[in-house]
Amino acid sequence: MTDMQDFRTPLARARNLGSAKTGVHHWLMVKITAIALIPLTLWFAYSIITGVVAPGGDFNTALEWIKKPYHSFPLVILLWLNFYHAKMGGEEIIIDYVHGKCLMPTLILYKFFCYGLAALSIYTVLYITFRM
Amino acid sequence: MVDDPNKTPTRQQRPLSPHLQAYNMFAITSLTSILHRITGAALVVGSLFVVWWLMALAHGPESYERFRYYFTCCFTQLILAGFTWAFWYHFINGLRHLTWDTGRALGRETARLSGKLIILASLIVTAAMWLYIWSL
Repeated sequence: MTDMQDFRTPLARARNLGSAKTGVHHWLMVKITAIALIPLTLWFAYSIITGVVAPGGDFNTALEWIKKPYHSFPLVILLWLNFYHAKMGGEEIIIDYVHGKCLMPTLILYKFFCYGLAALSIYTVLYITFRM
Repeated sequence: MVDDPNKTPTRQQRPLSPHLQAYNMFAITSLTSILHRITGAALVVGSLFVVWWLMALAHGPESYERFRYYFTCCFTQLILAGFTWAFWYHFINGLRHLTWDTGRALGRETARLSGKLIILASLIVTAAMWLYIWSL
């Protein structure tokens, strides 16, 4: 029997038709990040309301809150997973509605946007924790 | 068939399945589904509020006071409440999706009932949360 790794014709392969192969992994990562985000987002909503908003929401309260490592560390994880989940979800939306030659640049720009914001927000938390 | 290499048939338009224009938007199942997508997209924008807060905090007390001024004004608070609803809706509907992934609650009537409960629950939680915050 011949090696049947790829059922596409050479032309179809050249045109990039067919499965992207990583679809299941993509879907699974959306679900896994969602599960991880459940406790993290609940914790964040509760903690920010009781720890920052309720005592008055001024600069010192917020700074004290964020400098505690049991707040800044989950916050870093939350920000990372949030933007990762957002990147996955947004990619699905973009792939559904953007077609032709605009698709690749849009996907790349969106990836920059999500990872850029993730890096920026995590860096800011670390800066506040260690240099303020 | 093709004589001019600049006019290849590879760039012909492939048919796109009608979605938003074909499906009944008032069916609870399709409504909750598209709302899940819309709230997800809205939350990407909503994440910017968290980044804004962090940046304001990192720039010191004066910058934070300016942030607080804009953040606590009525208009921003209403927008935030909207984004919070988007968050709770996406969260609770996300739980519904995860439940479906385990194979449970996939029946038609169950899905319709859970859809209505989701919309109700998200509104209640958002209202409770903001009424508490505004009472402080």
